Amino acid sequence: MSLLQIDQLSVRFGATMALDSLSLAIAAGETLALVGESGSGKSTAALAIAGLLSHQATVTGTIRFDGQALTDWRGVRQGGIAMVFQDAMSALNPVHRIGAQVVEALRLPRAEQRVAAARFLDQVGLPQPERLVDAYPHELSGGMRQRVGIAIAVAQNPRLLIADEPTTALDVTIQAQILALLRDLKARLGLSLLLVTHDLGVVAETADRVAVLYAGCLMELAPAAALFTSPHHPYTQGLLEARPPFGTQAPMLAELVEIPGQLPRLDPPPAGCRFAARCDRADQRCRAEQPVLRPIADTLVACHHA
Amino acid sequence: MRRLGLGGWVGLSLVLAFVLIAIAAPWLYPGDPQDRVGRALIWPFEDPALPFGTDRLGRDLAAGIAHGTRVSLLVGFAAAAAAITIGVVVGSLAGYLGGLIDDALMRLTDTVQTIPGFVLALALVAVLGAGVGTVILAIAVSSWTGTARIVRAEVSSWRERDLVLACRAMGMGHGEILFRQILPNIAAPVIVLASVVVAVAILVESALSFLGFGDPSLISWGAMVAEGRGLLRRAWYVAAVPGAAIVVVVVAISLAGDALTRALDPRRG
Repeated sequence: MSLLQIDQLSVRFGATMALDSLSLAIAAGETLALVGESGSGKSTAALAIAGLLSHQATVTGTIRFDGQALTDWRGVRQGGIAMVFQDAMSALNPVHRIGAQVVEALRLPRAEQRVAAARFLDQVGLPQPERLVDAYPHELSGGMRQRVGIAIAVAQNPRLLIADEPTTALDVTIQAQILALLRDLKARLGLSLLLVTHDLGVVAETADRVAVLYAGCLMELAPAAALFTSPHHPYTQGLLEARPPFGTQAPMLAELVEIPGQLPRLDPPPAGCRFAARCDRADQRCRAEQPVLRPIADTLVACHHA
Repeated sequence: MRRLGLGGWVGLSLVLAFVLIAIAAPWLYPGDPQDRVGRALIWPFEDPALPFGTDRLGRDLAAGIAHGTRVSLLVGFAAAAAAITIGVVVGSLAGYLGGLIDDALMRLTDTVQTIPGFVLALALVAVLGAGVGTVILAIAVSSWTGTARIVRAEVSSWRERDLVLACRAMGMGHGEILFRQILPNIAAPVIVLASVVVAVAILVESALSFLGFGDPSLISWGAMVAEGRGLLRRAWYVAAVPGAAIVVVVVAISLAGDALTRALDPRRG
């Protein structure tokens, strides 16, 4: 049974349709990557699952976590779902010590805080955790801060960890370390991981399955390996072609194929396929009728032509 | 308290000295400071018992300064505490809640800010009658707007940070997020402002009593300057001594405020 089951989840901000009828499931112990460009609705989906949407959002659909329907869209997901943010500097409080922040959610008596905090800092691979509990966030490097962010999430004893662009603010070498840490924690603690990212390199390294979002719609849902070898949706194909090639002799710029145009306005969203205006295979039907997800091999694709 | 710097030490020591004088005034100069102690217009240092000399009516200027310190500091700190409290509450509610409440509170702030502070204080004292309480109220009502604007700007920028989401994800309530997570971060600008507001409040109190709107039953530096005004040619020290006291205390408070800001901010090593 799935740990997280999302059915027909839609989120509107006023007239803007940020997320349109998203249905997804995450199994226990699985890593699902939510991929898309800025404005695709991937962060909105993550915030909806975490119960962190703002009051301007109108939400419909259902999210079941561990069989229980989450009814409150702005409620705390205590004891189940924790979140790691993109910029740890902005998620940590500069005037509070690291240790106090790590165990904040546990509401421990003061005497037990240091030991507990040091244990969580150790768990995310930070050196000298006993000393770090007394440090302030500005005394740490970016990578260490993100480890602290992960320690805060782990301290909440989650079964689903949502990581919203967890490596975007970091150097490439640190990115790899953070991804390795997430993989390691997932295996050690038996977590499920929802990885929100626009970086296909991160996806390839970490994810079991990939959901590609475009303009609020799920375009393709595939096992990670299948997505990279045989993408079905024209948008996914475009995304993969737009990646800089690695290790080729050819000059980089010549190899890059961009997807022409930009995201459509979503207030209201266009009729038909959201990607039609930028797709070279689009025809009359694409512009009139919104494609539904249909299975091709072990992939789900929303395209009339796939 | 590591890095106060020379100015900080000077400022803090002077503020502490004035506080001690204010506390000790009834023991240092028992009785009414308005009583005659000797001949009129004894110059400072002429008589070792009267280091600041006497005024036109033979009253001890040193006793007046000591007792006047009580009024100046009381009004300065009480008015600043009230103004900062109003400013922090208005500013943080506006910044955190946003929307209509933000608009309403900030338009109110704009309205109060367009009225010149000293004129507003003067009008309030004129209407409500002279008295220490009235003076404090008048100064507080006319000087909370700067704090409100700065606190609002700071809080609304912190509101957008992931910190707020992270805290909510941990199950913290809005009150806890605002008061325990956000407000400690903006303590530094508020402390600087507080020192400025204290200094301005002392100046406004002096100005009000100079114009005769102070508490008539209490001796005040501003009233002492007003007394000496007519004697500037014959005995300039009668106005200069309380004037110097005002300058020194205001400068000391500003220096101390600056130094505290630097010392309290954990981000500056």
